[in-house]
Amino acid sequence: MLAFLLPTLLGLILGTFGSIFATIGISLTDWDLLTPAIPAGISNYTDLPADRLFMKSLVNTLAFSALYVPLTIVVSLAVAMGMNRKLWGIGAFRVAYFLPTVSSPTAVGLLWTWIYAEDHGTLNAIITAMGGNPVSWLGPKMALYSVVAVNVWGAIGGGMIIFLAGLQAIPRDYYEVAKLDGATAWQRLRYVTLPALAPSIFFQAVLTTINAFQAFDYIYILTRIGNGNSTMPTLVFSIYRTGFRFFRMGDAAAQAVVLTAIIFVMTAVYFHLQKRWGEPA
Amino acid sequence: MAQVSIRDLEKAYGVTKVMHGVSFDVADGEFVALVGPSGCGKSTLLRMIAGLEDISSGTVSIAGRVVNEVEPKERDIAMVFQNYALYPHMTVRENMGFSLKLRGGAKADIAKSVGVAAEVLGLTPYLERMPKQLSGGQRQRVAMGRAIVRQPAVFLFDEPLSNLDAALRVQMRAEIRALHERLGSTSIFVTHDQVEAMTMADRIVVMRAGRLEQAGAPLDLYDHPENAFVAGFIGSPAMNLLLGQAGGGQVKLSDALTLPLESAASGAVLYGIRPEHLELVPIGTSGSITATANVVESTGTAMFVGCNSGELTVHALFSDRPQIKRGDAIGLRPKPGLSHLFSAETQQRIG
Repeated sequence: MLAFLLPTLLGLILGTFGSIFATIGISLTDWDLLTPAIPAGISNYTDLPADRLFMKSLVNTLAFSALYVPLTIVVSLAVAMGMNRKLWGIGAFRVAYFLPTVSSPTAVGLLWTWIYAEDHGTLNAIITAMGGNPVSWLGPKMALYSVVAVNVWGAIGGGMIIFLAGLQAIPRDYYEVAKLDGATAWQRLRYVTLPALAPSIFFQAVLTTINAFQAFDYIYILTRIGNGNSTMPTLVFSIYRTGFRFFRMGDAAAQAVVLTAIIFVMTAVYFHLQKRWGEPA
Repeated sequence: MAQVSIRDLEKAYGVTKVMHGVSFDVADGEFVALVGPSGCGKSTLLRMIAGLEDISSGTVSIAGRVVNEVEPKERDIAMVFQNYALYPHMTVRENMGFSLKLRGGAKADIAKSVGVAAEVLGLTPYLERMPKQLSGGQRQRVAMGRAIVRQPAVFLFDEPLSNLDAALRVQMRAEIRALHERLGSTSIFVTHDQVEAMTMADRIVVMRAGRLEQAGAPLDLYDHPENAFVAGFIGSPAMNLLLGQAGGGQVKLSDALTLPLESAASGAVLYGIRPEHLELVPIGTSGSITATANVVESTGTAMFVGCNSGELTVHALFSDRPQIKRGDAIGLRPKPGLSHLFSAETQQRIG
């Protein structure tokens, strides 16, 4: 029995747990991949606040998450409610909303750079045709919002599936009782739908937060510049650049450990909140 | 308090017609049971009265007002659902007060109404609990409490007892009936269980396949079923309905079996006799059926015997305890004046 499981177990142990311990180990050294690693204690961690790329990335990631998480949840919930009806061809609509989720972020990201392009982008073409002034969508002022918009668009499908499943699990009786009791559409949402969806909303919040802190592909494609840098670096970008461009593996590993710790703490907070408010049925 | 009047009610889903013109009245303060087998349209009918289903044609009137186009909440009704439909995230108190809260009632008034209803239903100690912390019977009471606090003119019950165990069902039967007496409201109760209908209702409406078969007081339906379906549906165990040829003051049920008949009917008939209206007689007694017992079930209060006479299957119920074993040959004689006769063709009562 064990012999059959061994290949999988070995992969799991080495691949998953091994890499976690290796990352923590590397974060306690100075290592450039070529020369032997030098023990560095916790200096890589204490140096982080002085690392400008890291601090900028941390601020960007926090700002991004603060917009991305609530927007993704609200929009995908709204879409799920719109999709939760028996209409002819509703399946096609659901597929349409789910497509971004299964499309390659790199390819779709390129499409968005055309849409957002300042000189001859689709969006600015529409704006100028209507008499407006072109907007620098990926410039310093708008980049955060443009990037959030693309990421939310890409995440609607995944959220919609979770919420659609949650909505369809709500017994029809609840709505009928509410109707007999005279509940308005808003009251049905407030007192029936949202409480019944609480477990799905918490689950989706945890998932979306993790995704927000790990966001990389769309943002990199949209904000990269000639020298391999980005106008809007995020934590994962900072880890990648520190490790594989600057070859400071110890610093990169320390950043990765901090990122993991942040996600861990956020998840713990959600679980605590769910225990307090989101008592599932 | 209100009278409910159903006139020529029809329901169709697309081209499929599922209700074919049902009419009946429920008097103010009356307890009416809608009963019939699965799929007969009784729940659909109740939901049409509640406003949860569209009415294809015909009218529903409550307190003299046609409510076809009236929103459910304006119909002055409350409904108790089969699986209670209690909101899992609300306490018993919040569940019961929810409709008043939606209507913008003052907090003190809501608390008072909920308190009174909880007292009536014995729910006072459970007001702060969540539904999942309650037993099935308690949830059932909360569902009724939620209906009571609204003080509706009409109570609608959609098979509210079918999720309870047998003992609890008997208890809740009595409680619902007592509550009805106490509130003096009009109640319409849907059930597939004819025993529930018989024991609770002032009047029973029997439905089948979207048609009203017969409406009347429970014992009228038992004593004088208008057709073979009602005869077989009302009463437990079900009435024996035997196909035969009537004529000359007797009915021939098989080559070997002919029974005397009090009716002058002739032709193909269904001869009906309830199991409890067969008495045990010595084999060979005139006008009796000779049969072999092949099922003998005793509950202590009664003994049920299933037997065969040639090709015929006959059920009998004895309230004493005759000495019958499986395989015994016995004589059964219909008690005089208690048999029913239906036309084999139209299924309607002919004597």
